[in-house]
Amino acid sequence: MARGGQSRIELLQGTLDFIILQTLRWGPQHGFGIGQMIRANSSDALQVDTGSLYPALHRLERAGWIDAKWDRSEKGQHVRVYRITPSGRKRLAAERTRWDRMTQAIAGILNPPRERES
Amino acid sequence: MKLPWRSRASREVELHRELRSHFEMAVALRMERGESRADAERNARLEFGNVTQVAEVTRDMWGGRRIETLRRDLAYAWRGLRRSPTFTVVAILTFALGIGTTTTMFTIVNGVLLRPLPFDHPEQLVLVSHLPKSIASSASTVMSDGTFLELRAANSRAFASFASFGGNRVTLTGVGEPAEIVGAMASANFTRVLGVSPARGRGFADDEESPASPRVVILGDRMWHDRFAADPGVVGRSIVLSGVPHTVVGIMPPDFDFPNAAAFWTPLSNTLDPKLGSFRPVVARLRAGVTRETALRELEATLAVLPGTATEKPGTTQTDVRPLLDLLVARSRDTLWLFSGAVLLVLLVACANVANLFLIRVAGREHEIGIRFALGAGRARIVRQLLTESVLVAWIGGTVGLLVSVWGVRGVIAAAPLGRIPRQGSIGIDWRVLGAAFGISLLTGIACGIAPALASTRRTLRNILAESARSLVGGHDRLRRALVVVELALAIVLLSGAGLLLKSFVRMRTVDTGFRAAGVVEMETSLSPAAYPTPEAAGVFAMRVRERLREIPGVDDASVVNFPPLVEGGRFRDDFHPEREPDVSKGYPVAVLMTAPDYFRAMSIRVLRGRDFAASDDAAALPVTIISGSVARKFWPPDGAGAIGQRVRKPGGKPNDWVTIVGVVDDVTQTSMADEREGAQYLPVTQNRNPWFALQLTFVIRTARPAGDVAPSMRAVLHAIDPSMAVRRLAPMDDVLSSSVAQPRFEMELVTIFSAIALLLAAIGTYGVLAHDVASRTHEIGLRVALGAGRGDIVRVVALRTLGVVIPGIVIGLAGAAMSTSLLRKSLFQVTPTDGPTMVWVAITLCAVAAVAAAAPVRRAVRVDPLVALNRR
Repeated sequence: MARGGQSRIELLQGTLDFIILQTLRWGPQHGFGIGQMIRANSSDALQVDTGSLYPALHRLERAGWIDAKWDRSEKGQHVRVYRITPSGRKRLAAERTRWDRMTQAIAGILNPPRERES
Repeated sequence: MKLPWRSRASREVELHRELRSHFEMAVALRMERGESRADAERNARLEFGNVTQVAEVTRDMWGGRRIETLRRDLAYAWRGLRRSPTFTVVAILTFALGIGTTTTMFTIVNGVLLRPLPFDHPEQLVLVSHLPKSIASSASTVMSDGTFLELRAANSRAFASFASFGGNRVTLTGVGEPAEIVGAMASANFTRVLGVSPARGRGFADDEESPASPRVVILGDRMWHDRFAADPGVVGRSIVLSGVPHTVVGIMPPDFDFPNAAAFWTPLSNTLDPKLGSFRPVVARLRAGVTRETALRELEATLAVLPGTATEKPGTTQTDVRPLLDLLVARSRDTLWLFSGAVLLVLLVACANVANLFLIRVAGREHEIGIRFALGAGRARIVRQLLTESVLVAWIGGTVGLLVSVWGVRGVIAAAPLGRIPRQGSIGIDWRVLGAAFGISLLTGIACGIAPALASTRRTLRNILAESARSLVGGHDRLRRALVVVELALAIVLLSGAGLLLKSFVRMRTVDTGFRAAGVVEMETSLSPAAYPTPEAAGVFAMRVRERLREIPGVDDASVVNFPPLVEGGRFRDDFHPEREPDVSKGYPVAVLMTAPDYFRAMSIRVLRGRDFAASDDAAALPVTIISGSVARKFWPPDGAGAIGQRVRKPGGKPNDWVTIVGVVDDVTQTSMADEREGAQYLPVTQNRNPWFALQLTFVIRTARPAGDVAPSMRAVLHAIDPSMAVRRLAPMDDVLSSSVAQPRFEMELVTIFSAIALLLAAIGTYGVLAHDVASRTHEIGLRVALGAGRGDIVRVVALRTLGVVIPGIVIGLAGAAMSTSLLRKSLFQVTPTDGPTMVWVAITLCAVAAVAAAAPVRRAVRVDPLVALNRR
């Protein structure tokens, strides 16, 4: 297993949904491809178990934020390709705002402004 | 496009294709990076994880999964249950017992207390009462005719209308055998106020209340069917009721028999006289949106200004507005709630028992559960599976219980004293009963299944596989013992209730009533005012019958009384007022009774001072009275000796109507065995001036012969003097005595049955936990025997385990009983809810039952062969 020496980051429930939607913004992709892209875009820091990935994909499909159809890969394999839907884009935008606010808040806690320390 | 209704099978195939393609792409990527095909496949599989589990958790995301799972779980549960028939049958029977008793009681409570009365907007109907406190009791919901007439005529913002009604007993002649039929008299607007209309013909017209109006009658559906073969032509025909022709004007619909299973209704005409002091129930309809509190306030304000009631002294009367249903159910409500509480406890015991069975079963299946975990099933999945099993068992048990409850309801109604379960026509299985039965099944199924399911799945795969074979049968010991403690505690609570009611019943049976019922035979009649228009005529008749009764061979004493002790019906109480007592404001109500000579001898009531009435105390002689001991002691302390010769005001008489006390007799129990013996004042029938006071007469005789031998002669005597006279009741007084304790007996018997069921279940639970204990500790016992322990030591080990559940059970149970038996207070007679001796007996009973339950496990334990036990490892 090529995990390098880096520690693996466990994903919070909900965060994975957000990352999948973000990944699908670049275009339709199959499950394996989504896993690879998440891994590559996070420089191998995030690894998604198939046991988390597929439930998440099927959950998002059921919520109507993504849809799926069977297609052929470049190598001629039958693959199930997922695509983000308009409601999925809306959801992503909302999640994005929430995420930005949260990261700012956490950054604020981790690096407090100097003047408050005295 | 999303196709949520794609067939499950095709989705399943697609899921596997999808996961397969993922796997192949992973292998291909690894091979591109230079791994060999074998390495690439092995590494990809490791990275991928458990395919079954991935598929399982993914499937969980699909909608519409539940029904599919439920179907599969049910099939699986059914197969599992069929594999262990003993467990299944015991569990189903326990549920059937618990749910059956609960449903039985709920069916009755639903029919009596919960179903609305079959009238138009029954929630607007109230019972309005207003009566002097001196004659009021908590159960009296009546009003004088005069007050009713004034109220009905007054304007009201809260009340839309008032109707009055009362019982009416007549002899129907001219249609087959003459028969006594119980119906009702009602004001003309009765059916309109209730909002029911006759099925045929018409209701009463307002002027039919007038005594001058021709007599009319409305028939009930049952009487119409039974007596007139449902002939529609009977409307308009004339029938004879107690010798008076009445024209049938209408027939009511089948479900209408208000009040008290009335068979017919006549207008309240001949007696609706403001000057006559008759008290009757009054039903009123509230205007829409008016609450009972508002109505009561308005009623009190109105009564304060009405001519007939404005002169009443404030604080001497009692006014009330109650739901109409109270009239029918007031006497049975407490009993029904008592039974409901008892059956809930039985249900809880049954639940604890089945939960225990499930724990044993689950303990035996831990290996199977472990394998299912290993195959990738989630915990929620397994819990759901186990719950399906318990709910399935509960539902089967509940269905059996529902069937059992049909007989149960019949049994309870048959065992109930007459009239104590009212509205029997509305008792039956309806959607509410069905809903309750299945709701209870579902709840109990979940309650019994949840603890075993959670406990068994809490252990991880590793635990289960690592543990030895012995531990497979020994799990959840603490939980199982706790459940048995709960069962024993609940059984104690029920047993305490049963014990208290039993003791109270025995006390009531042995209470000193002041009279001796054995050897007394009573014959009750009623005199029609038409035949006996004056009190003098009634008195002459009574004395003539009494004379002839005395002549019957074997009759020692014969006399007459208007209101015999412990017989339901008329009562009269009035303030006792001695001539020398100037202060009358306080009031001292006593029972007022009318008798003839020899009454006290016939009833074996002790004459304390003075003399009995004599035949010479006639209309021309000095008016006399006899009072009872407590009254004499109250007004002529300390011993009442000064009472003889004193004058007191004549009950119901004018201010200057005096009677002279000639005797003092013992107090007797008059109204109910549960009441104290009360003070009374007796008047001779020969000096009676009150026209309605002697219309109901009970002749009493004392004889050494069997009641059945003298009864025909008594009837013959009555008919020889007046052939038209009907005998209402002719029975030994012992019957009266036993029917007066019928209600406590009924409560005691039913609670005893419930507590016996609970005790049986608790015993089974105790046996189960001990047997299991011994079975799972065979090895340990074998070891002890091998190390030199004797039989006594082994018995002690099991006995200690038994005490380990019995003692906490008793302690918790007695604490629970101490907190809950106060609810019984109303049903108890001369027994406190925390009666010490009863509690000791309950604890002893429980210990005895536990000892029986422990006997078989103990026997098995002492028979353990150390060689066999140790070799099993």
